[in-house]
Amino acid sequence: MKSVLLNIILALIAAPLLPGIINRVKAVFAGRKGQPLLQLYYDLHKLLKKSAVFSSATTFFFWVGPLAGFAVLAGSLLVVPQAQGKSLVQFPGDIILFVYLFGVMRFFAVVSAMDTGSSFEGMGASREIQFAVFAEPALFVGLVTLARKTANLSLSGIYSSFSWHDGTILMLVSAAFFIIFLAENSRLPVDDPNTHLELTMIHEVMVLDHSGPDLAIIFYSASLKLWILGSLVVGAIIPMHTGNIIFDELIFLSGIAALSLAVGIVESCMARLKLLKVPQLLIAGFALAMLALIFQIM
Amino acid sequence: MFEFILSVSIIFTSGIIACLLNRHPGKASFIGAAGAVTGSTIGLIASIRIILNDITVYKKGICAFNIGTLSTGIDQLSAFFLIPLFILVAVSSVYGIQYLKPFYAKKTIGSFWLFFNLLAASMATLVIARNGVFFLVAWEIMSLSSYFLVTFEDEHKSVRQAGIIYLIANHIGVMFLFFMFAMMGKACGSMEFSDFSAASSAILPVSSALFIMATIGFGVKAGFVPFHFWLPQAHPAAPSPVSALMSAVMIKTGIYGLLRILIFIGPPHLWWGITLFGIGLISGIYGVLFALAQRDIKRLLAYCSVENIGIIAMGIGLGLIGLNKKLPVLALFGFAGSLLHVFNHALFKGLLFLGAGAVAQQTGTRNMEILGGIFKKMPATGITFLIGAAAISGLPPLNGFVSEFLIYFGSFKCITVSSLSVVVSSLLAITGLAFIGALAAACFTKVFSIVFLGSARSASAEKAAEPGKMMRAGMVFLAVLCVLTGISMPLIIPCFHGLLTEVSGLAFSEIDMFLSQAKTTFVFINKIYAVIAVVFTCAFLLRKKILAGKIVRTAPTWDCGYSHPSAKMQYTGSSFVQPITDFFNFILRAGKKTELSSDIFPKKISLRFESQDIFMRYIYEPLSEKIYSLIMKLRWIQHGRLQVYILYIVATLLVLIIWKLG
Repeated sequence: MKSVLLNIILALIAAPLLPGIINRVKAVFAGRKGQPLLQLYYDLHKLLKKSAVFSSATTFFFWVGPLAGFAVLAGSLLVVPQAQGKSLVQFPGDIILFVYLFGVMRFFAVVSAMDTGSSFEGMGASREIQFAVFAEPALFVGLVTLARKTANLSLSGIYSSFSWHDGTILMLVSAAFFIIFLAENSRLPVDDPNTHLELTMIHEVMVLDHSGPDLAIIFYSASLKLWILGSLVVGAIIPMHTGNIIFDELIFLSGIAALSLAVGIVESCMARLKLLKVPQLLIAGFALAMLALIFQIM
Repeated sequence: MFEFILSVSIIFTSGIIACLLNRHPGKASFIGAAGAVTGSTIGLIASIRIILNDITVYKKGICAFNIGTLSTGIDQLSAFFLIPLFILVAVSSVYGIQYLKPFYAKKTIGSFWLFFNLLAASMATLVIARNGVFFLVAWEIMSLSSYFLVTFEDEHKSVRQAGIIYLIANHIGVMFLFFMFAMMGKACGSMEFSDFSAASSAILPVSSALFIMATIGFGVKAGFVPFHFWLPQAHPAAPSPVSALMSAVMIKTGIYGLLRILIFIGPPHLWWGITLFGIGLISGIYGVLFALAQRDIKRLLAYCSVENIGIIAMGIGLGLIGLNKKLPVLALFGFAGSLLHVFNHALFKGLLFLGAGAVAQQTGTRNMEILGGIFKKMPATGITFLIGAAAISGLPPLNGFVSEFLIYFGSFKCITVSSLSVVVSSLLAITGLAFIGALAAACFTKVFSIVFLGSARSASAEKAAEPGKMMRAGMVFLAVLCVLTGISMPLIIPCFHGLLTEVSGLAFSEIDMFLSQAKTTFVFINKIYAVIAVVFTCAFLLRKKILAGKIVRTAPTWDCGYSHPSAKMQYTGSSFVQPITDFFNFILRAGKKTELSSDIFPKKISLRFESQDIFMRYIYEPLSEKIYSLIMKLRWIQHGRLQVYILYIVATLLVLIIWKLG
């Protein structure tokens, strides 16, 4: 119980570190020195001190959206399995709630972006919601596979009962989850967080008009989302639990760090896909999860 | 039982009185609505009492005709369907008082209320009818009265056409029901429902035929694909309180009928479940895809009803599969999910239709693409519409989530069994629901943001204002119910005991186990909601504190340096969903017509998108043309000459006499 609580606090504190790691990896690949690892903390601090500018077209949805998105993420943090595959709350069926909480977050993000009446934000919102159409079923198929494998219906129940024999299935599912992880967090090859052209962005363009504390909470939520969905990938890639809480904690944390490293490497090595190709990537994720399920049934 | 008969008679009588007061539209509206509200309240209280106390009443008809009796009865299933019915009748009649005001000079308001109350009374009657003939009579009154309501604004050609399509669809459906009841009556030797359930062995040999006829007959009313074609026509044509009532409750009478017949015809075959599940899945995906492509807000909602009926049918299908495969978990979660969805869909779809009606009336258009920015002018409508939109997208903590959750949960539970058909259908249910849910979210973020957010795209959106108190009251009431149902599941789910016993026929112990399981899950979910609410409140207060004392400025939306933005530059609904509609164009088959001039300075260019229902375009229209041309070949019988007609009469008489004497 205590260790799980610790994990949640750790996630809340350390999540902004992940974008820092990713950026550092990219900088090393590009031969640059790069931003400080703690850059996002500085940014958050600065943004929280600032005031805000609102578009005259907006209503209160504009600023309620980010707040609600953050609150929902905090809710999903309660059920997500972290070190040792454990979570604070677990009950059969929390898988479904988990996926739907991300749906709620997306709903608020889209409404809050559309509130400005900006074409650019409309484009971002439209893409965000389109990719969910492919990502959500893929995520569910992956979870179905794991649920069938472990005969368990709660996320931490599933994640705490893996064994090394599940290798093939876990590999396929974690590959699928990795694709979904990249898409949901608006990373390359789905979305380029560093692009300078509004027309091509997804997540960054949806928050063009947000400023000050609202933008801070958006950035913070984005890093927290990276952590939460990352835990799903890490837990499936490293299904090992030593039983020693400190070892497991270290394994989990280095897993999360390694995942950020992998994201950085992916971002350094490939270009963003054409937007029309993104559904194909997500369908590939769906196919991987489906393959895992077929293996499981056979 | 007395309360129900009283309630139906109050609704019916007030309709007649309203019709007599045709000269005084204000009074007619008041009497009609007051009667509907009083009757509904009595009926609602009685139905809730029946559910809570698990009562079943049966009353043999007092007056018997040679073809049927007026037997009535009430059990858990009837009471369960009566609850949303009475809620929606009351809400939409209160809403209707205000909605009809602009029509006072042009229309006969009294006759509107006659048909409206007749529709309400006939729906309630068919739910409590316990005789095949009586049921069909009520069914027919329901279809006809709703036809007159759909064609309320009959000065428009599109409305008249929609009315005809609706009438034809209904009568195709009822034809199957006639056959079905005739077959049941023949097998059991009586039209009484009590005899149907007593003579299950007599029904057994023909049960599959009965299932097919019930699925088609009731499916037309419910809007199963491919019998859904009347919905996108009739719902936009009807006045909004009527569309709300029709979409929220009337199409559910199809589900009620189907469940009632399924109870009579005994243990289900596997293919029944698979068929219903398949129809549901196809309806769900088809409905939501076509909803995405619509510009007319009410047509969009109509397609969305097809989607939700699909989800309900999926649940029933899973229930039947579960019964057949002796998997009580699947059966109970499937049935409970679909029944709960019947109730939930009534609430949020009613709410959305009322909201759409308010928007359409205040702005004078149903075309979403020329609206925008009306949230600031209609905040109450906007907030309630948002709640409806989130609920229909199945988002927690609203009521749409809980019913889908039950279906998901049952499917997840059965993903571990060995039977391949169960695993495949569970998997299809989960992925199908996820897919439908994501598309519905796309569809309703589109509707809400294009209509309510941004800035006004036209003068008609500019002049929008909040509708009157009564219209607002109806919407707020339903929105509150949507939220309450979503968060009070631990209290609601135990009331499903009797209902599930009736529908599934399973043992008490199994149902008890299911209910306690569902209850604990919902308690957990509510705890998570509570945490989210606390975090949200804290974040909200923190933000307020941070921003306090700072100068918050207002500026135009950032548009990348372009300094003269106009409202027309906003993203439109069509462009918002274009990536999805393009991807699924192999189903939608939308036509795209572009006219580009080749001049260097083109004066006029045009782009036109058309998405027409594929079943209408490829099946029903060619079919009706065939029938029409066939009928035209018989035109020669009619010349319009009186002499020839008299000849026909004489000839007919002669033939009859010869036949009788010979």
